[in-house]
Amino acid sequence: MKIVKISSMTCMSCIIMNNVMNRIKDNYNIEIENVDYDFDDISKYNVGKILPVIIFYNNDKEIKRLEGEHPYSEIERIIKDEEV
Amino acid sequence: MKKYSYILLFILMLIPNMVFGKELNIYLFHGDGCPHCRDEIAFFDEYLEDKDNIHLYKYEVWYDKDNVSKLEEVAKITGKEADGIPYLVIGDYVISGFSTGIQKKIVKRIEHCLENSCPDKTGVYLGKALEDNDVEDNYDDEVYNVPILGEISARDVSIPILAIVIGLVDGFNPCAMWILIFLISMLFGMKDKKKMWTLGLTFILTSGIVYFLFMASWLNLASFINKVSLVRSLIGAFAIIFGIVNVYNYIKSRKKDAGCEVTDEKKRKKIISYIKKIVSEKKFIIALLGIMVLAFLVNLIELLCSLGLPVIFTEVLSLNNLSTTEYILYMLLYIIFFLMDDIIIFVIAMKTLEIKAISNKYTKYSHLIGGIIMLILGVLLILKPEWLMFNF
Repeated sequence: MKIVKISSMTCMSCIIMNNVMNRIKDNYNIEIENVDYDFDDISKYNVGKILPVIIFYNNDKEIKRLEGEHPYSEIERIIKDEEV
Repeated sequence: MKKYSYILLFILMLIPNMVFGKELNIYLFHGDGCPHCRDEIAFFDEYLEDKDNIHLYKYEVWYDKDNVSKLEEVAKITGKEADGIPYLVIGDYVISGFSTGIQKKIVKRIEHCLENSCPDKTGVYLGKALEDNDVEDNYDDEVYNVPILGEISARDVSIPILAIVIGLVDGFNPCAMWILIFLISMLFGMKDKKKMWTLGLTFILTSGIVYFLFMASWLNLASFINKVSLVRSLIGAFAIIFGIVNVYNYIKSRKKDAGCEVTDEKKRKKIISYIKKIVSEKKFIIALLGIMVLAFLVNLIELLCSLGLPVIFTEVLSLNNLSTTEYILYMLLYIIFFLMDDIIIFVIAMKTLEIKAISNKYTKYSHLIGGIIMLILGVLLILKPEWLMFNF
């Protein structure tokens, strides 16, 4: 499983989600790719108007997408569901 | 029989003085054609009909230049700026404007001066009182006895509370916050801590100055336009619309996940590259000036985003006929609380080198609270402006 996190240094919700994703990284052996909304090429991710965007991939296929702030438990549930 | 009727007549002549006791002079500065002045004069015509011991002296100031000079001098004596009419002086105490609430306030002040002694330096200056008896006047219009704090007036408490509450709610406006967050992230890359503090605080301080200048300009304008009740009602209507939009935005987004809405891509990129340029600038003085220009421009542009709350707060201030110092102090109080969240985020970030963000879900609540405040103040501006003068 792989997670792509698209966030911006200008966004409060992104800072909050950075902390959540850091905890995920500490507790699960999952690759998390950080993409900067302002400085990286985001064209292939089809990002809307709300940040951050968390995209979950399994075998390079997008399986789930979250926008905005979400609790640790929700991210954890998605990972566990996929692992089963 | 004739002898008794003389005695009876004498007793009857004494009755008014026994009932009302003292004589009282009151001074009304008014304008010909001013609707509030006309209402106030009509009120006095009726109220003073059976009160021969109260003398009303009227001074027209829209067409009579001499009376304007008199008003300016009286304002110096009373210490209350003459920024609007009707301007009524009872025992050197000024009551400006006219409404049902103010009517009660006038009667209360008159009764107070009839029961107690009130100073009349205004009367001495205008040649209507012989000498100033130099009495101490402990009168306050709406005084409440609060345990521990003692006697406090409704106005002295209500305006600061309003300044703090609206300032705090306004501070959660996310429009300019993202720029501070990005600036802090960029400052982390600097090695000199002193420069980091200076640049960050300069940004926050300049933002406060821009806000203050805007509020002061609006206050100046409001003191003129508030004379026309239609304009005041229009501002009230604007507040109601703004309030409804904010509450609607809350209802619309309350079930959505909190997040940052990205708008105006072009402007964002411009500001981001400008901040990067400032932070990498080798000459500190240029960086400092750059940060001031940035804060000035950004806050000016983003002002539209949170125009409603500062406008409505200055509107309330202008209704209260305060002194210039009071106006400035209340606006500063508002701005301190407006900048409070920025200051807290900045100080924590500088101390821990980590940005502690405030969840955007609180921004949603600030929209709701801000919307409700705007709705209430808008309705009061139209229907009960005297309540905003805290004359309940």
